[in-house]
Amino acid sequence: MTITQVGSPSRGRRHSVALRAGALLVGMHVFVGLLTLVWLPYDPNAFTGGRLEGASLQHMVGTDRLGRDLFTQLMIGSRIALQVGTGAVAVGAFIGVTLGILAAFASKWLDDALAATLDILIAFPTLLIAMLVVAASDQASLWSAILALGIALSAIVARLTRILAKRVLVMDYITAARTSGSSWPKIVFIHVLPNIWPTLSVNFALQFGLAVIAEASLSYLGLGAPPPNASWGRILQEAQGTVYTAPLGAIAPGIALVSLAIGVNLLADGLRERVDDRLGDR
Amino acid sequence: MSLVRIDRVSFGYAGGRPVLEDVSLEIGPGDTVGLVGESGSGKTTLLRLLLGLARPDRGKIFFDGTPLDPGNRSFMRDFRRKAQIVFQDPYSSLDPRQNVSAIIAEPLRSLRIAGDHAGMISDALEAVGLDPNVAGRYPHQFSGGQRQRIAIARAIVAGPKLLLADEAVSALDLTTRVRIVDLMSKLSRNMSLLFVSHDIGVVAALCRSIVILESGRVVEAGDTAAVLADPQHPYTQRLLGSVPRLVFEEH
Amino acid sequence: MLLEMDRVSVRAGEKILVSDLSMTLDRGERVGLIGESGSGKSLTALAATGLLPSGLTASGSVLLGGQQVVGVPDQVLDRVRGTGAAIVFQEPLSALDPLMTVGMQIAEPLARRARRNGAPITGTRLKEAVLELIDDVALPDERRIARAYPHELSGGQRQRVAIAMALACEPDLLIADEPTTALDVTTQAEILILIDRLVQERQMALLFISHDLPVVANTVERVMVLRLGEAVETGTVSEVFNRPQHDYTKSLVAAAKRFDAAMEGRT
Ligand SMILES: Nc1ncnc2c1ncn2[C@@H]1O[C@H](COP(=O)(O)OP(=O)(O)OP(=O)(O)O)[C@@H](O)[C@H]1O
Ligand SMILES: Nc1ncnc2c1ncn2[C@@H]1O[C@H](COP(=O)(O)OP(=O)(O)OP(=O)(O)O)[C@@H](O)[C@H]1O
Ligand SMILES: [Mg+2]
Ligand SMILES: [Mg+2]
Repeated sequence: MTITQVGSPSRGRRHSVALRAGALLVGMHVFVGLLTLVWLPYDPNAFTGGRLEGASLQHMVGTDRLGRDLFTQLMIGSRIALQVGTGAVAVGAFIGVTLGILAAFASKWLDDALAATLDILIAFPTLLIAMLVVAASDQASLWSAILALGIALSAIVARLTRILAKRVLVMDYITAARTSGSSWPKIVFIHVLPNIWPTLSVNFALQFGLAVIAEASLSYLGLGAPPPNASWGRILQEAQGTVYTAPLGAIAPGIALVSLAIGVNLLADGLRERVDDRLGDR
Repeated sequence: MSLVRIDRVSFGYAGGRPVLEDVSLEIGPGDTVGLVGESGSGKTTLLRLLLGLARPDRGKIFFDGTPLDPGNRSFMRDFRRKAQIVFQDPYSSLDPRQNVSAIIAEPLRSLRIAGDHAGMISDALEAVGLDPNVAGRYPHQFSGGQRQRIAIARAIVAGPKLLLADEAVSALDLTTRVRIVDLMSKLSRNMSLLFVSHDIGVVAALCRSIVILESGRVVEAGDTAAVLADPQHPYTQRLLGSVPRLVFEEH
Repeated sequence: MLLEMDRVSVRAGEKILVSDLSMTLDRGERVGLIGESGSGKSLTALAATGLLPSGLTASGSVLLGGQQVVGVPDQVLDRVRGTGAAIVFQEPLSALDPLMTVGMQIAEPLARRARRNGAPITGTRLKEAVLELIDDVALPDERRIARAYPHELSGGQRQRVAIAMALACEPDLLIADEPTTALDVTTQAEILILIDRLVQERQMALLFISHDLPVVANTVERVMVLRLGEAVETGTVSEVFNRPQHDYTKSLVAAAKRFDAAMEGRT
């Protein structure tokens, strides 16, 4: 039997396993990241054992080729990944939402021009844009990575914001606000942003995942945070030469990266279900 | 002097054929005018022009003797205080993320109207037949007719001089409709009302004069009772002829 | 039986919004649901199709085309495919995507239905079918309407687009929640004639929700009167409107007569 509803979107009501699993994975990384600020098992740059040791009680995932504790480095990697993810999403959100709202309000030709530009930008891989931005800044640092990824993500955010805002702007409650004498900035903050926020926030979670992976790639290419920042990408890159003798050095950062990326995506999924459900969505 | 004077106004949406042609209309203080016409005849468009949301291609609109000019800020500020609208679609006219109290408070806040807002909000809710205790709830928790009444409460809360009601009672059942119609006729003692409706019965019960619009042209206007008793234009006659009645033969 | 509702209740937490409602609807039958604003008409329609928003729960039993609806998750209802029910919701705008042309929105259910019938249509033929359907619901200038975005249409035009989308599904059961509120009497008459024709040609069942008693009287055979979520009276149109039993029904009929009278100039 088909039920065709003309008028209300479907509303699933699954118990959100995704939300919980995602929160658990992300929560774990957040905990570890915060922990590094106050406690580390070893000095991350000290030679604490033999080179390329396997897993042992002292070194849970062994040591690298300079004899540093890998687990300590992975923990720091969690913090860096979270820092870069949060920073990049914040930068991308700020630029993207501002641009998107302006485009939604712009006159037709300006809006069309902006939309076309965004489409072209989005056609380029996020990583490529980020690499160009890093290359343009004179020195690679944590901040240049954040800025680069933020700028790269902003095009996607801008495009989404533009579409969502346009949907809201045709509603009568916007006209009602205008005829009540509300100014445009007020309308944006009181009506437009609250209505597009739930969908945007789901997207931000996805962007976060993208940023984390892109940061690892940048670091892998030597364009990310320079040493002594132990980014997962750099650990991976350093372990590359010894991948046959000490595979753990390459597998461990990979697992850390994937677990955070999957966690964030699950969280986004769970959030989306919540958003669809809330307000009976009518 | 009339509160609103629409003088030979024509209008077409960009790239389309004209929607309104040579429309003239006057609304005096305390007048109740019914605007009746087929779906798509340009009723909502006329209200949009009246609110300064679009500019006529030709002709002029005067409010209180001053030409309506969306560019004139001080005039518009005063005008926004005096003219309010109830939209046709009760769903899209309420922000789903605001609760009832915030929705109704919006004109009070934006127009910087002094006084006890909470009290004014519950008075407005009561006037449209809703329990003032619902002020904390969100639009999706209401039925269509209840939402329409929230929109009416928002329009009357600031005490406008001119109320534009676009099918404001169409989603209401008759008993509630009687209540709203009574409310409007009470309010219209110190407010003018332009009441758009396809329901001639309601217009007959509420409005002193009636304007009949057919594809953007006024085909008949005048005293409601007179027009209904003796419609001149064939379109009006057809309109009156097709009103469904409760009087029916038993099958 | 196409639709069998047996002691259906709808609750929001502790609050009972619809209580113990039972009704049946078979092919070619037309039932009207009347009652004042907030009496539970729309919620009844939603409960009948398992589309209640989250926060509301239904109990009792609803068999729609033999399939139990109450307590069955959306995924199951979506999976069981076949002939269906279409709903025209009270708010036409919520049915429509503001950023998609009306023509494309009508084409979608039309193409889906054709595929399911085993005769897929595409391209020009689909476009023609869309225009035909737009014309069916008494919309003028169908080419312009097909190209327009929802907010470029008048309220009544949007409502007819929503009706067209529902009809494109060729449903066995059409649930129409105040489908003509935004329409003038002449257009309304055309729509009602169209629905009437479809009921007869396709043996479609109709659940018609309206507060407009004269319209209900002219459209359906049986009515159910709802008050505060309870069915206070059911019967044929002439029974209920000519000899209302319940005080509430009497007041509804009296109010309808008041407007009829105003029209005659006997205020
Ligand atoms: N933004 C727009 N752009 C282009 N055409 C429009 C726009 N808005 C309305 N129209 C067209 O203008 C005509 C008049 O529309 P309007 O909304 O004024 O009608 P109405 O009398 O209010 O009808 P209804 O009773 O159905 O609400 C319609 O044919 C409609 O399709
Ligand atoms: N999601 C919800 N949460 C809580 N209460 C709700 C919800 N949806 C509807 N209600 C309440 O349930 C009652 C019945 O609503 P329903 O929409 O069925 O009314 P209706 O008969 O369709 O009225 P109308 O003619 O005004 O559309 C109303 O009092 C409404 O406030
Ligand atoms: Mg209109
Ligand atoms: Mg309803």
